[in-house]
Amino acid sequence: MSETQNEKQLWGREGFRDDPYIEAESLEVAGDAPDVILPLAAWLGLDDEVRRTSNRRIGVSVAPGEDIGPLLEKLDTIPLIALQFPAFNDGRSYSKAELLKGRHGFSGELRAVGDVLIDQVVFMLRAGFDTLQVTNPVALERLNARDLHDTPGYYQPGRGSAQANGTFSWRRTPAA
Amino acid sequence: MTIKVLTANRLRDGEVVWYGADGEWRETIEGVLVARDADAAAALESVGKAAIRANLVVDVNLIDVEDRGGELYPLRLRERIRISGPTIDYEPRKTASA
Amino acid sequence: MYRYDEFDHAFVAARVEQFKDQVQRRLSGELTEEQFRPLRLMNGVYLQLHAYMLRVAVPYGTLSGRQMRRLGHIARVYDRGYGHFTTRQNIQYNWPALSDIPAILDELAEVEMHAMQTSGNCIRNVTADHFAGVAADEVADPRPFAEILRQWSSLHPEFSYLPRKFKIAVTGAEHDRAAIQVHDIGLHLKTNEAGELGFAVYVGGGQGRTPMVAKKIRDFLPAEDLLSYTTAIVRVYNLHGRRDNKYKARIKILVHETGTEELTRQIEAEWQALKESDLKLPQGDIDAIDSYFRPPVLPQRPEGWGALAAAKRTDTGFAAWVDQNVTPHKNPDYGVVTISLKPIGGIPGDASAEQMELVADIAEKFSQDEIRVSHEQNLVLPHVALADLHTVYELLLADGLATANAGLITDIIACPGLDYCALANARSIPVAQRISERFGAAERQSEIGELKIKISGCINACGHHHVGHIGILGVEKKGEELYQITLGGSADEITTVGEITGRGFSSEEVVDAIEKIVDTYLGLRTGKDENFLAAYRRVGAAPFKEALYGEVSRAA
Repeated sequence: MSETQNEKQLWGREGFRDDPYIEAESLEVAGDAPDVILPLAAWLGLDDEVRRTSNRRIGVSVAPGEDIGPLLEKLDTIPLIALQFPAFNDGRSYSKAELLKGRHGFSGELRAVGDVLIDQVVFMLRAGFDTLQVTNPVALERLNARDLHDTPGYYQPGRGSAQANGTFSWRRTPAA
Repeated sequence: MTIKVLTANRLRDGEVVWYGADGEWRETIEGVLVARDADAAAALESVGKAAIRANLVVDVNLIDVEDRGGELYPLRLRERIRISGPTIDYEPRKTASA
Repeated sequence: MYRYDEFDHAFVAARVEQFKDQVQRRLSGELTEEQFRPLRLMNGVYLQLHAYMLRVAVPYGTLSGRQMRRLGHIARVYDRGYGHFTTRQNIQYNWPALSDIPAILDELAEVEMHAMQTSGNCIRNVTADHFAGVAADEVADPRPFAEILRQWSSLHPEFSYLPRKFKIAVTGAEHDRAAIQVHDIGLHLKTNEAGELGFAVYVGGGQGRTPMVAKKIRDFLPAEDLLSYTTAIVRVYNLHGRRDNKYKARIKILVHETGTEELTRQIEAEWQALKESDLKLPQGDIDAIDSYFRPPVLPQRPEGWGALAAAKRTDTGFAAWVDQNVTPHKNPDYGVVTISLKPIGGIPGDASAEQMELVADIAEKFSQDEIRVSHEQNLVLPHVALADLHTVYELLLADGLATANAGLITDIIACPGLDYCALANARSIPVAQRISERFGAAERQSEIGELKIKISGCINACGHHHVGHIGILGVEKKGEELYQITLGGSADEITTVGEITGRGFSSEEVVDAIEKIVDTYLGLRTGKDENFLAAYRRVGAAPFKEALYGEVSRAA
């Protein structure tokens, strides 16, 4: 409703951290910023050679309706993929996170950006996100207090969890 | 124009309420504040918005009613049922002994 | 039946604590309605016309006596003394205060129940054949697999924000009582030639604005692949289902727009990558869940045969009830009792606190402590010895629960409609009541035979009107209620969507219209063994349209 616009803050499992990246429409616009996140189309438009030999880190931001297919064969050269949540209830980026981290072994930073609310934080971590860009004041406050709205166990495999002992194969407990 | 009254559900228990001429949210439509022109309707609308912000009520609606011989008659069946409650005999009867 | 272990208890307790905190924050004003709404919906709390509504999950419709007694207790203490059993085998309370809901969730958690995922764009309560485990025509009990799906889908990190709600139904019998072909995923448990257990998989069924019968995308899926295959389906849907229009967001539209063949290809490709993952079900786990559902050891009660025959001779009301509401059990000394929640002129699916408690008592004494909720909004006692039937009947009769109409014209499914529902356009319950009264005489119902009437108060079709032999859809036209009639729908193993007869009928006209349809059927059927649906399938809509619209229809 009438919330004051908060600063964006970057959060990971260990807590809040500085964000070296800036978002830009193109490398030209980014000036001499060392770490840049480009929209998918701009990123795909870069010459592979230019990208690889650049001394800056160039991440890519993917909207829910955009296909991650073209990124798959270049994953080992991508430092960061930001998956967007334009609204908290658009869940497509969860499946993409699962595919990128789980199936395709993406080892760079996977970031959730957009409408990140406290009640989705655990889902995001379990789907494979490393970092979350948070603006929602309730989410910021709860993350500050490390109150993640977690459950003591999960009924599905997911990142950051371990096989629960002595019970069904699909159950997990949070990793220590 | 048709006249308008302001209705909502109370946040705490969901009870149907109307905004009264006395400035209170009431559980019956009697004594409700009636808007007879556009300015009054706009004023009611802002009362509704303020009540949402104050977390008193939810689902606030300005509804069309007719004055039928001193009785307020909402034009939509939905609103008439919100006044009357379910139109069926819904509360369980006491057990009849066989 | 399934019992919570420590893992389940801790999980549900944590969720209840979270929701308590959220309700507190809402009441104190820390959360706005906009922020709170998705949270309350995830816990089954809606706002209806007159009050909040709480929908409690009854997994695959199975309840113990203790659980049913608790549902009655909640109705009495926190509501107005009754509850409403739904077409998804759940129960809804119509009048809880928001401030009481955390306490209700505590009461539920104590008896291993909750209200999670009874709303929202997630995988909803998994439903199953209400005769599961006792039906004579069953290959295997589908409930162990429904339970595995229930667990796996609980707070699923990837699938809690789907394009739209997602419903799964499972049956283990050839005769489909779970309406699997009008679900997002329908699973038909069967054995292959080698005698192994698996599923035929149907995808993309649904009702609502665009009713569609599901497509079979796989003839046999080995049981161990249940979770990997379901994940593949839901993932393809989550990524590609439409999100631009909520009326086109269900998987049925994705199936329709992508084409069954292409969508099957995508699902199979996704599955190939998942098949050997952690989701593969070890046989030991299937067996362990299965053991919870092992059929109870039923003592031999051969004396029941004689006792039943004798009681039927002396008590005609009992005889009619047995013929209509008792179906064969796998064990010939036992019967499966349908408790009709459709008293003549009553509210379909409603039960009072006292009735719930009575059913709980009877289940504990006479039905191995088991109760089912059917998607037809009735209750079922799955294991009643024939020898106990008369006692059970008299107990039910005393509390208005012995209406002998299971499967007959007065066994009507109806959604809450405009009497309660914030989405409805017209009332459903009063129409059901008037039809029930019109046809309520025992001889008349029996003469008409099997006939399923289903009534929805809006296009969302919670009352399943598309698959009623006679379906009634309430709409609002110029401020008045108007009822459209469809004919020939069915939700069994030959699922069909009913056809609209023509212009709608006013509230005053609609019961007469139904009577004309019924009279037309009686006049043209080949005999009493040709039920309404069979007759309709033989003759088509024309004679019924003519009866309803006469000259107008011929001129058109």
